Amino acid sequence: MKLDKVLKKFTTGLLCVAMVSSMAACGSGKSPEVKEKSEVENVTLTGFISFGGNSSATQKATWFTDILKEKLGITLNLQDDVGTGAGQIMQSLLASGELPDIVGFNNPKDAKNAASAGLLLNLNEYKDQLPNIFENEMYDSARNYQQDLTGGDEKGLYIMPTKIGTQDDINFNPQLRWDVYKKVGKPEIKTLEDYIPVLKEMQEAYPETEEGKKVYGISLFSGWDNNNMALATYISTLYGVDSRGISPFTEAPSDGNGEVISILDDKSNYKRALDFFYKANQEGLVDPDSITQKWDNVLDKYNNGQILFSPWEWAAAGYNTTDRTNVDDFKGYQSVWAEDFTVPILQDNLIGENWSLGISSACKNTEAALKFLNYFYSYECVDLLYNGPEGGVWEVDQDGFRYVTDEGWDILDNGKDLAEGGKILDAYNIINSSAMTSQTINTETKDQTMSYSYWDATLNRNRDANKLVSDWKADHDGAVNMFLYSKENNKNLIKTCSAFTMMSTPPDDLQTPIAQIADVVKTYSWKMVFAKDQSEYDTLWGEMRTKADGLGLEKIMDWGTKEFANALDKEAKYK
Amino acid sequence: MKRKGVISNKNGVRLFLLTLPFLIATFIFCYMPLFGWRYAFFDYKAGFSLMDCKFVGFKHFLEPFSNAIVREDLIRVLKNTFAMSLLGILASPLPMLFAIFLSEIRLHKCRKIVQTVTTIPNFISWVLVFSLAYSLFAVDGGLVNNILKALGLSEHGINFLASQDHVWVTMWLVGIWKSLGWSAIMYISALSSVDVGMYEAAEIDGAGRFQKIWYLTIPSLLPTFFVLLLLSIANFLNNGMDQYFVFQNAMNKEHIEVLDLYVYNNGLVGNNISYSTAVGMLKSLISVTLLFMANGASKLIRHESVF
Repeated sequence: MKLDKVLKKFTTGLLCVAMVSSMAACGSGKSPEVKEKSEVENVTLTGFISFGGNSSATQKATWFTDILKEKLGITLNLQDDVGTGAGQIMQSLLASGELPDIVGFNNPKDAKNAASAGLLLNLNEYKDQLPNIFENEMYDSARNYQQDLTGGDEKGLYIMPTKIGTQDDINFNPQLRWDVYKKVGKPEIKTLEDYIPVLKEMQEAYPETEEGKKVYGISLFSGWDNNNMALATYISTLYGVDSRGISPFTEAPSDGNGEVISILDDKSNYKRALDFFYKANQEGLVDPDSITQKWDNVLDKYNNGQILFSPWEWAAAGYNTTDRTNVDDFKGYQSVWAEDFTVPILQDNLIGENWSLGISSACKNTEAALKFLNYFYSYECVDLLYNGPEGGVWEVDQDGFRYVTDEGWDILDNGKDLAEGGKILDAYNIINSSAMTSQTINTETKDQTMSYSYWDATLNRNRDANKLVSDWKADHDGAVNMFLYSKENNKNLIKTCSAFTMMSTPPDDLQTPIAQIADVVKTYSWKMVFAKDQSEYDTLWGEMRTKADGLGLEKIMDWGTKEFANALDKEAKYK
Repeated sequence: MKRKGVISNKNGVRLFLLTLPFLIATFIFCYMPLFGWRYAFFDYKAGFSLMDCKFVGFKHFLEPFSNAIVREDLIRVLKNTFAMSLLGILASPLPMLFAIFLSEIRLHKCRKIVQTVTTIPNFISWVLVFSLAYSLFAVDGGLVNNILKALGLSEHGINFLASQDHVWVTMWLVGIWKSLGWSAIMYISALSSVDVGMYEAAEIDGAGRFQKIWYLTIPSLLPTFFVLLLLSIANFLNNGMDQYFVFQNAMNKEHIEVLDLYVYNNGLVGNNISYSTAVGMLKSLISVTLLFMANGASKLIRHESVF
């Protein structure tokens, strides 16, 4: 009985609350005019960035969103890209015939479809509102290229690529847990396969982290798979081939000189990478959660130092905090390359990357969207995205040169938040790209690079580095980092040609077989890595090839080879 | 006579008006989507209006018949669909039995608690079910594997989620866990309408508890059971995709990909919306045929028909 009464009271209470709040909703519906006048005009732009833009970064990076709000009167409301789901969300958005205000495309095909279906604004018609895009000579090649590629017959400019500018660095930079590697006596690594016994020794010497978490040699994830197993292509990249930028299922030398072969060829580097993972798994080095985990899980493991090998420096950077690296028994990741690696150097991105931004033709606040895009392509915005606001982590010295302050290094090295809320990287993560490369020269300063990573003061600091880096440097002739070391010694590096970003999209009649083969390649590659024994591994490899051939791999290969030759021609044209 | 006619007419209009919202809803949600079938006859590209796409006739319907690999794939998917649906139908008496046993629990509070606990999973989305499953079964730090390792039953833990063995059965069990309590509700309400007099009579005749269940409860629930069975046969090919979508990975995909998931994977992941639509249409045809067959069988055996 008592319970009944309580329940009754509770429900009536709930009803009251509901009624009051619905009335409140009515009230606010009536008075927007009053509100608008009292506040500075603030427009909310919706957006979907299919190359990893995300809403949680928008919430974290308050230091940047406040600037957007005050300066442009814009609030961004982005739909989350959920890893593998990005392509699916983009498909359903395209099929609905209406895109959100700001759209980011992760491949030229979607961008071209959206442009030719009339879903995007022609930026050429708003030249006066986009001075940062149209008056910066640096963007000339990129604009011209996009007008030819996605502009249709009238040569409109529907999308702007991101990360335009000069580059001279590497993305792939294999790392090992340096302290553990040292503990096992730094065995020689002549070639890719030599990592396996070394990792095995390291795992035996360091089976658990200090926090008692299990340590793995290699941890994989499928979230970034597109037409193949992405992690395998990252490994094959270390041998100077590109199987991602180029057409599906092909592998071409990064510098463009040489044969284009199928990744399903017995002698492909993709196969070698699969072999590598398979053997590593046989040795118990591969994280058993690889098949089911997401990138976030992997990043957590890197941040805990649970994974001994990383193909990238940036992925493992979260572990290298000063309390670990600058003590006597230092811990952390450093570059350890096999002697025969040929790692591709990022080349000048004159026409930008394949990631691009556009404005929806259904956008109701065209003014605001244009304002945002114009701002995104300004030096000012790029500067903020890479370095944060002045006084945050950097300052200008008497001669007008910028440098990172000591407090700034504390914030950067230890992943602390800025005073205004959020990390510097959080702002970059909102769109997950910026208009210019980090090495572009910022003409609004004393010709320093865009990102603090390449300022003289920063490079000097690396010269008298922390104990971990010093230890590594002792083995590498005192070089600042692996890239400069290899460059100095003129080894282990290969140029990348821009032809990869200039491949046109596969014709319609190839789309279906590409999707079908991609499904086969992805599924079988993963199964091969986790095969029980060599005979199962070989059977799966054979089955994958038979299926891919049956679905029309040859036609795709023919197209890809021909198209790559065309792209090499185009490269010469836009240079 | 005349007056009566007017009244019944009036009643008719009123009843019609009452049903109208449901008719409209049915039309919007069940018939309007059929309009989308036209996509199957074009080479549709997302973003373009259909009229700008190429008309290709029956190309997408014939695709499985012209390419051996596509055909094998479709057969594999159909095999999974049939297997999972058959398992589902095998499990269909479970909710009924569950409802009966539930009603036999004398302790009122205990019964309510059991019913609530078993009904709640139905309201948890599959995405959350998967994250629950991940935290339970992950090799690195999953609860079940931690226990196994602590007990020394397994040295490295068992990778339940990425296993290609027993996929059908595990999916079946997960499905039962999620839906058992919810599906029992129909039977519980049917139970309350069984004439109490019959039980009293049975008691006087000296029937035991199990005899009452066997000779009274089950026969009175059978009509409900058969209606639900027929409907589930009509849904034979519709085993939904959410569950399989969240649980799929490279290792179990071969066995987990059911028709609905295949349609999704082809349409939105593989960007092949037209082919997916064609497969979806074939599915509807088969479903309708199955429904008529099941109804025919019911007429023959039990002399009862659903429609």
